[in-house]
Amino acid sequence: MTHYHTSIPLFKLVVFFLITTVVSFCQAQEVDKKYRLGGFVELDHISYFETEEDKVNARNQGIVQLEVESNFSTKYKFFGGVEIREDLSDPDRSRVFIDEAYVDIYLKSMDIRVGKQIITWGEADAINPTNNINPVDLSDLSDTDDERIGVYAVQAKYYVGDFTFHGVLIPVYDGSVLPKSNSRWFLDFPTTVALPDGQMAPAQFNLALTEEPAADTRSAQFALKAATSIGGWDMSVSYFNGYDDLPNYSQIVTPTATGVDVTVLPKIHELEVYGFDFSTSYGSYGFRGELGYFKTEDTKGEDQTIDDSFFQYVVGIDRNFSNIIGENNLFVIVQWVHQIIESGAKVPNTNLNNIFQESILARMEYQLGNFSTLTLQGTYDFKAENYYVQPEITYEISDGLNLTVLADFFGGEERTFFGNYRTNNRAQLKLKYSF
Amino acid sequence: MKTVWNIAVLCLCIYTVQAQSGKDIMIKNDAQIRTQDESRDLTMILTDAKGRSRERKVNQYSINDAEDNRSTIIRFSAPADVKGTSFLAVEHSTRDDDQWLYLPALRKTRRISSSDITDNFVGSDFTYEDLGTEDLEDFSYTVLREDTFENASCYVIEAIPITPEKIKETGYSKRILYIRKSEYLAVKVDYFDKKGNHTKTFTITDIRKIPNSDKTRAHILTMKNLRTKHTTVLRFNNFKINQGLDTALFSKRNLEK
Repeated sequence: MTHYHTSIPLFKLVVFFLITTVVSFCQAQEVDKKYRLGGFVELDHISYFETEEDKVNARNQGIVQLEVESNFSTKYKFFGGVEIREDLSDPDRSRVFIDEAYVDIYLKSMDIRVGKQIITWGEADAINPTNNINPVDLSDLSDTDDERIGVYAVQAKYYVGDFTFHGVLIPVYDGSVLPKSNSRWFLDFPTTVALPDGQMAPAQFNLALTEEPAADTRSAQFALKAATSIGGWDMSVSYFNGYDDLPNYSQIVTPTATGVDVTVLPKIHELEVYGFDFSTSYGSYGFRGELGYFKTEDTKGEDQTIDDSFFQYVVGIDRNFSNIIGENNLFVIVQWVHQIIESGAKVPNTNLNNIFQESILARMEYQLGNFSTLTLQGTYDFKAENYYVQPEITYEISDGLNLTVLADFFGGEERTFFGNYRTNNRAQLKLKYSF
Repeated sequence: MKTVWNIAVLCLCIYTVQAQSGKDIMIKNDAQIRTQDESRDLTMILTDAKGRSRERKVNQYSINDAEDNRSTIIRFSAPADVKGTSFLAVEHSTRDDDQWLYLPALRKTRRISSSDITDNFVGSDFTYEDLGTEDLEDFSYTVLREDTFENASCYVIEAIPITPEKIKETGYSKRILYIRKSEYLAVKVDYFDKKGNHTKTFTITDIRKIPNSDKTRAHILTMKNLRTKHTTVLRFNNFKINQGLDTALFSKRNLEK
């Protein structure tokens, strides 16, 4: 599992170094345009409507993202992005983090990218069964920014006519980031468990360290894709061979004088994903879809400690409407997500790989003049009967300076994914200046 | 003798006006604006009724291929929060257009549906219809009179959609075009909605010949929306025409670079 701890003196030293570097680059930029410098500064506040004991009940953070890109050759370029984040309410979230750092090499029929990078596959919106290369920062499950974490990889794209062949090699495994125990998104363990005879006994839970693949090339992963754009259709088939970015859990129960000790053992397992996706348009309508077959280590559904293999598909339709109430534009997308467990077993949607089992997702963006955008997005799962809704308004204060106010609402029965977080309803305020 | 000369000049003028029918004038206008390929930098200034302005900067490239398909690529360079966003459109002569949008924040190229021609172009007061070239067979062009605009002599032409398809898809019942005689550019256009209301006025200024080409271009275009009181100003520079752009530039591969 990835950890972000950075000691504060080192943190400040790195910040000083980076700011000095930025000033140098700015000066260089004024002399010539060999480098393009950019990034953003963001202030981010979150308040929860209800407080919880022993949890972090707010976010008060600042982010500086610095990006530099070379601009002096058509045959290659490099890009580097570093994020500096400080959270006053949760110092564990403070970090200096390389977002991406890579070199691009452009050949006649091939592009090669080497370094830390984010690779995004899939034609669907938000839920992408074919997008399995990068781990995800799930420390705040409701963060709507793209929270994918860069991986050190070599990516090659080979172009032949209307076809593009992609190959990706990730030499060393890196997993997703999960909420820590003081997070509102960490579900506390129960204080009692049912014994085999049906009686309830006091329980003491312990979460062991995640058993991960070797931190060397023995955990290498790869992915392949063949994509084409023909006759108004974009299509691809893909294959991923590597590891699940999320652990499966087993447990060891040890009787004690007062009850039981339960040790929870997270473990990363191997995973293959066969994928297909498409998108097309007809008139003002866009159509897109994606299918993934997730082949786990337990294809027959015999091992309770490993996820069963499953299919997941997404189909969606979108449309842009013009001149809605005045001369404002409205964009609407609706998608259906369906997951089919190969063994036929029922799995809880509290498992992060099984949240969307029979779900409808929708997003509406209403542009109000040149300065404001109202967004409403949400999902409802018909099987687990839980939901999530997020209204948002963004106001462009000036060129590059945006103020965003949004809220998250969760609902559903207990022991459903969103139902478990129904006390996590919250409001968020973000002020972001891009430069 | 003088009377004979006057009659002769009058006849010549009548002949000239008759020879220069509305369609003939628009054919010359079309020849002026059509190119094999063209690139330009553009600053778009959007101003609302309260006088608040926003600025967008883009680089635009376009090309016509052998099958009469027209490809356009647009890259946003400012403001910083949209920098790197790129748009590729391939207008096919025989089927629906292909359009893709590259969003750098998502590291993703998305196929998007074709816009209605009455949709506004990236939040401006221009619609896709206003910015596109028109098929001259879709309209009737009538010369109303000759007039001056900004001290330049112009033909004033009324354009009315006549084909069922165009009548259905256009946002306008008619347009009044002022075509400058010197280079056949439309220097002013009044747009009338389907109810016949005058809704927008388009004007151009800073007209210059483009070096190394036989084309002339306006470097400032202004569209005033009379209904919303919004104004969009497009400031062009760095025009390059028929420079032999590579068709590989107009690809998804290039969109993501």
